[in-house]
Amino acid sequence: MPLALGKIVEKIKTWLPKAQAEIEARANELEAKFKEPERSVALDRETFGDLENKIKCLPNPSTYRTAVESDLTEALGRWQREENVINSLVVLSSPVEPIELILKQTLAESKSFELPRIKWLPWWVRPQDNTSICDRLQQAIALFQENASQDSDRPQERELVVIPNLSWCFLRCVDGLEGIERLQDLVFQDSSRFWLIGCNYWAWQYLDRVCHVSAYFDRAISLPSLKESELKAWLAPISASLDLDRGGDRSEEQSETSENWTCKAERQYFERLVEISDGISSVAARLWLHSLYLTEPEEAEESLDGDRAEPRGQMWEAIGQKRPDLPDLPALSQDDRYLLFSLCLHGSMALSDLALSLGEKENKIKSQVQLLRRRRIIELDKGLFRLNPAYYLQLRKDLDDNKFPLGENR
Amino acid sequence: MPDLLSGFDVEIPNLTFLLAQTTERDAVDKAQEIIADITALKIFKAIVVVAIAYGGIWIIDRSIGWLSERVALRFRLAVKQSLPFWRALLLTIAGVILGNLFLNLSPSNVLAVTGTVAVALGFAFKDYASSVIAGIIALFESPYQVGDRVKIDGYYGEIITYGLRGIRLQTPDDNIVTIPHNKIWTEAVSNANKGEVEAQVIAHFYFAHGVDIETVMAILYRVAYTSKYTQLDLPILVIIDEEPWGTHFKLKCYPIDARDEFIYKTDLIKRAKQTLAKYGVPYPVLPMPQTDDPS
Repeated sequence: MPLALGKIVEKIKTWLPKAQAEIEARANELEAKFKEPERSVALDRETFGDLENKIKCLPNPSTYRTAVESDLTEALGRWQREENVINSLVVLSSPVEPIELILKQTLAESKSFELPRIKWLPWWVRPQDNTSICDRLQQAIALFQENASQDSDRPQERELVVIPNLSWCFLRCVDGLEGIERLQDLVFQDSSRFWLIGCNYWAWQYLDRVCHVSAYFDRAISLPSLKESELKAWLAPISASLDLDRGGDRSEEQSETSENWTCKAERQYFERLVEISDGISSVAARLWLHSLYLTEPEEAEESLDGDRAEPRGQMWEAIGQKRPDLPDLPALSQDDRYLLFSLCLHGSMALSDLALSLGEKENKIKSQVQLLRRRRIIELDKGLFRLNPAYYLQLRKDLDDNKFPLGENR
Repeated sequence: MPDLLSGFDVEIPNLTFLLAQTTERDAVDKAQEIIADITALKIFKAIVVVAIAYGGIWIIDRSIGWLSERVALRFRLAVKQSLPFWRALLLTIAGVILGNLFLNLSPSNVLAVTGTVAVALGFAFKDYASSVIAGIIALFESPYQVGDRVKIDGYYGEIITYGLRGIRLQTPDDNIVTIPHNKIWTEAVSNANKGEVEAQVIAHFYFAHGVDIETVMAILYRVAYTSKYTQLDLPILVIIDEEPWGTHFKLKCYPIDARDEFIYKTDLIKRAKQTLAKYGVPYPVLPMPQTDDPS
């Protein structure tokens, strides 16, 4: 026995340095491939904004649409054939994903099932007066019923009611949950409609704890995580228009091409992107943007703006792509955590709603919001504040470590 | 048996007295043997050891405090609770080094001296010894730990330090109260969180007898559920008690971080009162105190 143990120890001793050297060689190889050239600078504001807008205009990943379509087909089919079955489907996503656009696109492009009459929630942003949500829901349902009775061609046809984002129907304040309670009453009283609801995990967990929503909408599915090839295919319309320089020796990598990948560097890039973004499309898109850089010409003037270069037009050379990485989450105070949790709970919200959800006056949180904007943790888009997707995963971990109830399966 | 002493004119002193004198002389000799030679070098070394121990304790206190605020909330109290052990370790090492410098400790020396010295020291330091022993016992029994919110001897606060002789409480008024460990022998210790980061908060509300109970309960539950501080993983409860002058509602819930205990309670009361005002909920009217009117 001692002899065998000695042999094992010897083997480990000889194996360990080799393994270490191998790991270091691979790490150096990766680093060399994604190393920025010495003279490079982050994308200028114009280019960054332009690419960001292009990403927003991209159709949602087909993986999402396929997953929602298949579950909806099955649930709708059963509901249309049988009595007393579940008449709802909830699609859950991360707070930074545009769940409303995913549902909209899925229903617009779906060909695999015959849809009953579709009725959409009549608003696409949380109403300014949160106390009016309840009345507005009631009016919307009354309108649906009125339209149904007036349609003499299909008087008995059942309806599909779509609430693209459930977070638009509530605000975390004393008077802000009446809309959800009204919705529960409507579902309880009338089973002639099928409800398709989009929601983020955090809001769903919150509403389940407070209002027991899962008792009324008990079928919930999650958007799948994207794989490397799916991410690449989704971003292809934009990346194809850029002549991306990933560095590395192309001649060596040509021999490693496959159906999905033009080179090894590309495959490794997207593997890394999926790993750090957890397969969430909006996070991956933002990290993809942040991984781009411009190679600086030989005689460039120094920019006054430390963050981004001023547009140089034809002076800049190729756009390169470095190894994607998560940005460091700045240190947060407990008040920052409460604010960011509220923001993620509601998806995006106006300052007045944010103040109400925190139980504070607007003036009190303005400076806090401004600081977080300067640190780029939150963004302002069309008058609504939302979390920067690049920070989502680290924020999620930070809040989880600090015992905030997140409700996301990881 | 032959009388060995016959023929000799010898005074035989009291045997017990002789024995006592011998024992005392032995003890003094042994005590002198226990204490090693005190030299200037040893004094210098002792000063250095004491300074290092003092500095080490200061560094440990600051480091543990710094680290506890950097780690995730779920680990904060575990980090803080390691503080007494690190201090005890450092003090033990310093004590052993000083002991070796100034004392020649051997079983016979120690045995000879403890008999007389221990009695003297015991009376002088009995309360201190009781506190130290209680502190060691408390490390294992854990009636309280660093980070706990406790009430002892009429004082309520968060334990911020666990020393050799006692604990230090930081009260809600930001006072630091030192309580010796030996209080646990005789006093009850009320612990609000017992090592957890959450501690229950109770907000009291008083209304007139004619109040709509269901409406008030619904509002209070909603107030707790919509507070940014509320830990939704723990239960929220509204309890009612009847008083002669009104109805007493207790809203029991937990904040995410026990340190937000008072700001959480303020938030609950503030938002509850704002909502209750909209519903015109009646508050109790207390009877006027009767005074003796000479006329």
